[in-house]
Amino acid sequence: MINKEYIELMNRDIDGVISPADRTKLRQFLDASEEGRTYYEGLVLASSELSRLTPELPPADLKRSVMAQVSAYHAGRARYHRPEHNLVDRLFNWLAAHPALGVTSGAVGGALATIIITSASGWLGGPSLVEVTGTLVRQGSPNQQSLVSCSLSAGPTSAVIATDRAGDQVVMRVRINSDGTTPQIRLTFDQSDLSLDRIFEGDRPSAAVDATPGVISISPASGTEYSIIFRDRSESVSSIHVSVSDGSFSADQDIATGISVRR
Amino acid sequence: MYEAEDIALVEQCLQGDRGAFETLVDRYQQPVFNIALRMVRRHEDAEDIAQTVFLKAYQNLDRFDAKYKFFSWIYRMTINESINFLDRQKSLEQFREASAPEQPSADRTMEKADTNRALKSALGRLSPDNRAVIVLRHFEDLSYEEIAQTLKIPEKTVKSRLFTARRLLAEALTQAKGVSRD
Repeated sequence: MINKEYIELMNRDIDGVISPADRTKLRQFLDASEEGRTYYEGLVLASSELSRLTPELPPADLKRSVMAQVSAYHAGRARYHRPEHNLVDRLFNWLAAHPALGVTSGAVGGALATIIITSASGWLGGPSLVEVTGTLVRQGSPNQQSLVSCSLSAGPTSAVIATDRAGDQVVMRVRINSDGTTPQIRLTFDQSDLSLDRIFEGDRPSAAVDATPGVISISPASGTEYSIIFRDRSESVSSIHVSVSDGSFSADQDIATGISVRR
Repeated sequence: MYEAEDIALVEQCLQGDRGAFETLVDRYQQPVFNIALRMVRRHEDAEDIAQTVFLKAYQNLDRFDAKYKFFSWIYRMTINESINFLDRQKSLEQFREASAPEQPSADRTMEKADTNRALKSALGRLSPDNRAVIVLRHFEDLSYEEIAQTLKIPEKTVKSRLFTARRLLAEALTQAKGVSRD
């Protein structure tokens, strides 16, 4: 059993922060203790092997990816702070104050609001209440696991989507958050190469899914997580088109399955 | 180190100069990537972590306290992000494989490669807390005090983790060398 004091001295010696007096003390100890020498040699070995692990260069596009995400973050913030967001409330308040206009149902009002907002955004050159942020795609061969993830927001509804690929299996995980509206997720894919294998709601097989060839539609409760498993026979399918809608707004995006790079 | 320059760059970022942040990314992408790589071991995961760290850093620049060093702040974020990643991955087979002891080769010509593999494998078996201290000391050359500041732990704890981790690595390497020489 080596005294803690000497263990500290050995480590300080390796780190180059030992005083001359302590170094002498350590040398005397090592001269006298075979156990101490073995321990010290082990530490020196570990330290020298660690120093041989040279730093690796970061991926060439890391900075570009980071700055793209910074730009996306700014775009998201800019949209979030846009006055157009308040236009819905202002429009409904205005409609409520003018019943003579004949708008009596929320649905009609909502549709009208959508049209007006869309039009206003178009006229003003501004954004709609739809955004796609945080897409993160990694390049990889078909046999490497890859990951893509993104967030799609449509009005008050948002979905976080992540994809894993392992060989011919593509797993898309979807989690939706909504504030009471009935959201819908729709996946569209090329059925000549990609086939739906299974869908899980949480960890149970899901039946409450409308799946027709090439299209899967899900109307989940907020917070529900789905795992949708595809088989990619050719191992060449590069993307699945995903749209998220809350009835008034929809956002859509091609989600890469791990082969191609899209930003 | 570029402590004063870093703080000036952070101030420029906060005034809306994205080019200043780009300079910070340029400056720290290698250490951030390497810290993440030594922590999680897979290049792809390290890249994801590095991206997340830089984005979070950007989003939280206004919380950066200029009393501290910028590298210390961003290294801490990298370590924390890596540890969170490892926590999430714990149950996955991928992580079990990465942490499993590797079979050292009996071929003497491969001894160097075996030692390197044994070291990486032993690093993977260290607890994330111990690994973090090794990574900051040996790969980023931080002092005990800087590691303590970075990880927000007492210097005494830094030393305790560092010495323990070195002992465990030494044992693993000695064992690997012994096997390869048999």
